[in-house]
Amino acid sequence: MPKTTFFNTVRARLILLVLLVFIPALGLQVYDALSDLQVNVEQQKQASVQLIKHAQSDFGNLIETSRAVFASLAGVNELNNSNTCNQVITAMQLAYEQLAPVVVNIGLADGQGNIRCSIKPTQGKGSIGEQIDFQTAVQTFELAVGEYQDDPAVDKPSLSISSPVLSEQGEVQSVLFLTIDTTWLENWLKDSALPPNSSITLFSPGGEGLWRTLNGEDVPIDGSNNQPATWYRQLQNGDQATIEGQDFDGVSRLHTLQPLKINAQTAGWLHLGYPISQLYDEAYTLLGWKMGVIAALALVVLLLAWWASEALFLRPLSNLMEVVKRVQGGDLGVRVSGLKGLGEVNELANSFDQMTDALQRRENERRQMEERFTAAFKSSAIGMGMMGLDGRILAVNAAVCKMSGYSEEELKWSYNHDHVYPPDLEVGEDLFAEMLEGKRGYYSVEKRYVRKNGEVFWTRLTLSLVRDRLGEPAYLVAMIEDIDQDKQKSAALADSEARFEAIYENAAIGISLIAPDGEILAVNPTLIEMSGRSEAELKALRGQGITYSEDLDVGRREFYEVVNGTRQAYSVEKRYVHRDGRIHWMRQTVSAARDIEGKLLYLVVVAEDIDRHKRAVEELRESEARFRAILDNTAVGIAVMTLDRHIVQINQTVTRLTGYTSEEIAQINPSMLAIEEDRLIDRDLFVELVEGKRNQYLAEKRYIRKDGSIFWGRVNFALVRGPDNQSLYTIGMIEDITEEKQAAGRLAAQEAEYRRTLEEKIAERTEELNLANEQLREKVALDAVIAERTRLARDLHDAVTQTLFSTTLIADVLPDIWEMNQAEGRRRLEELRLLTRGALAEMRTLLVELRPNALVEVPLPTLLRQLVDALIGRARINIQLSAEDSPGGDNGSGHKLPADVQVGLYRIAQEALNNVVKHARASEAAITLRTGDVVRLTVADNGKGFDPAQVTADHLGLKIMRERAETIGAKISIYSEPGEGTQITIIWQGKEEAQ
Amino acid sequence: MNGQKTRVMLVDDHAVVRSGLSAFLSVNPDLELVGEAENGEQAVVRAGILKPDVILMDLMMPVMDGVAATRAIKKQNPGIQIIALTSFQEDELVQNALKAGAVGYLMKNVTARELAAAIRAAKEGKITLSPEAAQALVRATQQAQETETLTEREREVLRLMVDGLNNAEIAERLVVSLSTVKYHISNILMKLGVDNRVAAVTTAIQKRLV
Repeated sequence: MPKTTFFNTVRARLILLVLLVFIPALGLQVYDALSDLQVNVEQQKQASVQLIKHAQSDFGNLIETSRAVFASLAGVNELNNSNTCNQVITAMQLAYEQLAPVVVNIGLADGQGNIRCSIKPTQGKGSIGEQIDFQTAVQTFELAVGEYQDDPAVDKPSLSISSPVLSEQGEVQSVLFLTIDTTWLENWLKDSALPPNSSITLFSPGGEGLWRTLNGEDVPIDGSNNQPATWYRQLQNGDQATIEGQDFDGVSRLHTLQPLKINAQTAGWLHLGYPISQLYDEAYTLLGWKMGVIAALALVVLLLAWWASEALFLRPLSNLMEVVKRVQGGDLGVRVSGLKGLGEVNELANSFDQMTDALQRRENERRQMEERFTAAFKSSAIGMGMMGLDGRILAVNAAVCKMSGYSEEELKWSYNHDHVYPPDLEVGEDLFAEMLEGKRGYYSVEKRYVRKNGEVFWTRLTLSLVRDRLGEPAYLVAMIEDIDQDKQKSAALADSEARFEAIYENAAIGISLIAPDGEILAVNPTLIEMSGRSEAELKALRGQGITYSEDLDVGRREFYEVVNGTRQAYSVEKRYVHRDGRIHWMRQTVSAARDIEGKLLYLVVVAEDIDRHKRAVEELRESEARFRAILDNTAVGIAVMTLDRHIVQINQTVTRLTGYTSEEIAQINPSMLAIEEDRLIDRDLFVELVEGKRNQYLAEKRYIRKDGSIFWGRVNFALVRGPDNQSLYTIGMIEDITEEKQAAGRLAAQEAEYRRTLEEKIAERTEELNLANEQLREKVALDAVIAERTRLARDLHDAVTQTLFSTTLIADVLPDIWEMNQAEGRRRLEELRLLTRGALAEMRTLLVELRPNALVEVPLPTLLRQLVDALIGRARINIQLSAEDSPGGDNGSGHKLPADVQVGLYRIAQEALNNVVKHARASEAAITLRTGDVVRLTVADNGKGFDPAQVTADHLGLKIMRERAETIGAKISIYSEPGEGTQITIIWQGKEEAQ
Repeated sequence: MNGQKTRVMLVDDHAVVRSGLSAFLSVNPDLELVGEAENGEQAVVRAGILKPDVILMDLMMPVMDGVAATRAIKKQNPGIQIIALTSFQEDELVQNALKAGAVGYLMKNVTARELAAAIRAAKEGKITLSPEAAQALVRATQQAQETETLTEREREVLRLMVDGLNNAEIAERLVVSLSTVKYHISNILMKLGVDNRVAAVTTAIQKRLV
């Protein structure tokens, strides 16, 4: 529980609350007061200004009155008669009487200011000529005021007012004047409701203080309080209407200033000092009072709250607290009921009381229970004990002792687990844990304990957890029942019941319970299924309801024996009829259930559908027979061998193959059946087979027959496994493959033969291919040659065509040309001649091209001649040929050029000349041929030449020329320079004849 | 304009031919030789400068051939009429020359009279064809017909035949049965007017059908 500091208490909170209310209130008051003060001050300012203004207006009125007086006086006859004053005085007297005491004196002066008449003596002053008012009046021809000043004649400051009397001409004849003092001010003072402690001061225009009152009483002005304060100037300047400041007597007042003036003349300054300190004082006082009131109020409320909290809360609460403490202390009888508090507190008190009631009740109950428990505990026939949470036995009752054979002293302080039958130590552990967690209140288990004499007995142990007041596990209460006997009996019974139940429900056999009179008491599901009939139907059928008609008598005798009691049970095979009409075989077993006296209670009839079984048996027999047939008749030998290589069974084929009978073979070690060399072929494989690492294998071995002959056998061994995948035995299948083997050998020989033949053929073929390739190569070469030749032919043909075309054209138009211009005609005729010649030469060359042999038959010089002629015709280049022409094909040195050389040289020349025509832009060309030991052929032109470095070999047929030269074993040199023409030289040297 | 001479330019790579043609032109008062060129490139340049009325264009020339030159010149100056004058009469050449814009196609066996007539006709935009050229055109037209009649499939098959595949290979390539291929081939043979596969292949090559 949190500590209760003063600040937590209700009281403190109340105080806070009160403060929270009153402080703002206070604040509000202060604010109010201050703003009120402000307003008041403003009002005073305004009021003071107003007041002062009244003074001014009074003054104004006074002036007007003066004006009126003057006006009336101005009418007096003898005004301007300087000798007598009688009428004037009389008139003045009248006025004076009306105006006194405000007006002190009225008089008349002449134009220079000399006083002629006056009501009161002027005391030594004979002239008013010096006075401002006189001078102003004379100047302005208007009424004028002077300045307030001290007048020794009079106590009070006086002011003189003058008014000129004008002649008809407008000149100042005389001046009327009157004097006033401060009486009018006093009057004004009286009339205005000045607040007490106000000061009024009359200042001369020069700033001299002339007359002062304070609080309505005159204050003598002397040197010390004469000078005006700074605020005086400020107010004069008109910056502000009012100023707060210190007055002559040191008191702070609100000052205003008012000039007394008419027109532009200021008679003096009137000052009002308005007492505002009073205002402040008043305001503060009021505030003080108010605050005081509030504070007082606050205090009152506080006290009230204090008392109220005490009375309404704290006392009841502390009451409650006390009671709670007492209850905590254990006194459940105490109640709070004597509490009188506020609504909720009351409720709290009530519910607390209720709670205590409940607690008390529970406590009572608990006590009762405890008592009962203790009683029960002691006398119970069931073993009861109390254990600590650790299993230590705290108390046991008599029953436990009886059950266990131990005395109470022996058991007390021993541990529970000392007595538990060790295998059952952990029984109920999980339930115990749940109980500790609070998930269950108690639990019950069956657990074995050990008696003192060592006997083990079954108990039902019920443990309940007792928690303490705080809900924590305190100790355990155990109830132990010796159920040993029961257990065994019930176990047995449960067993047998369970068994029967199982059988009854789940058996694949039909069970029915039949009363002695044949009434069907019960049928199990299987019977229902077997018969295809419903429970109701079966029950209706009674006894032998489903038996096949022919088998009704089967087992009848035995049945009655059972009913009689001479037989306990019997079993027969008979047929029954399924609902759908099918007939099934069944084995029917009937037994009797009797009571203790042996009286027949009912019969248990068990019906087993053995139809399938019967059929299965049949099938098996058949399949076995089939298998046997296969086994015996197959062409494959089959042997069954145990894992340790004992041949236990063989078929006929094995016998046929090997010559051994099954008896004989059973004696032989199977590995001996093979010839010595082949015995080990499959040894490893067989081992793997036996070990189950492989399921089968294939091997080819040579075997020895009984008669000693040998045969090739392919044998396949397979492993037969049992239902648990364990190796059971092996089956070997053997085939005589001697034939096969021989055939294979023949085949191999054949293949070798074929291979040999094939290789021969391949060799032949390769030979052919090489030949073909060779031929192809030659053909390609030939084609190339032909292609080239064709190209040349085409060129020539083309050239011829062009030439001839040109020729025909010229021929066509020659007559006309001749007619037009003979000279031209002659020229063209010459051209014609050359063209035709050229064409002819071309044709010849063409023929040469088309008849390759011509190249060889015709001597080289002739060929060259033809070439040159053709070109002259075509190209108008001057081509000179120099060659030695030797008839008979002999070149003079007795040697004839070899055919290929001649052809080659011709071709080179042809190419060179073509270049000259096509590319050289030459005008002259020369071909020279010299034959002898060395054959030299030169083709030169004066054309533009070329730069051999720049030109690729392909270009200008240079490559072809070089190739040709190389082919015939000639040296070719090509010389050219740009601008210098071209020369191609081919040199061929004849080889020695001996070569 | 009739009074004016027809301005003629000669384009041929053989000087003899140009010589002959210039002689021919000289006897015709209404024809005037204004320029010569010895290959297509020169022809295009000079034609642009000289702007002849008619050009006699040889087709086989180095640097730029007559067909290309014709095309270029016609593009620049459609007003210039070009007569192809050549010794070749290949169908394709004739077609190309005419397609390029030539207004005449003459062989180099033409007489002077015929040539003059052709030039005059060309000036007026009339086409003059040598009999050989006319025949080439007719053949081309006929061929076009022939090629059009082959179906897409037949064309495919023919293509493969030309490539050298045998029937089985063709069937595999086109994913059809052998009998289908044979059917197509018999149609092809009929349409091309030949009676054996080799002939079909050679015809196809010759006539550039595939």
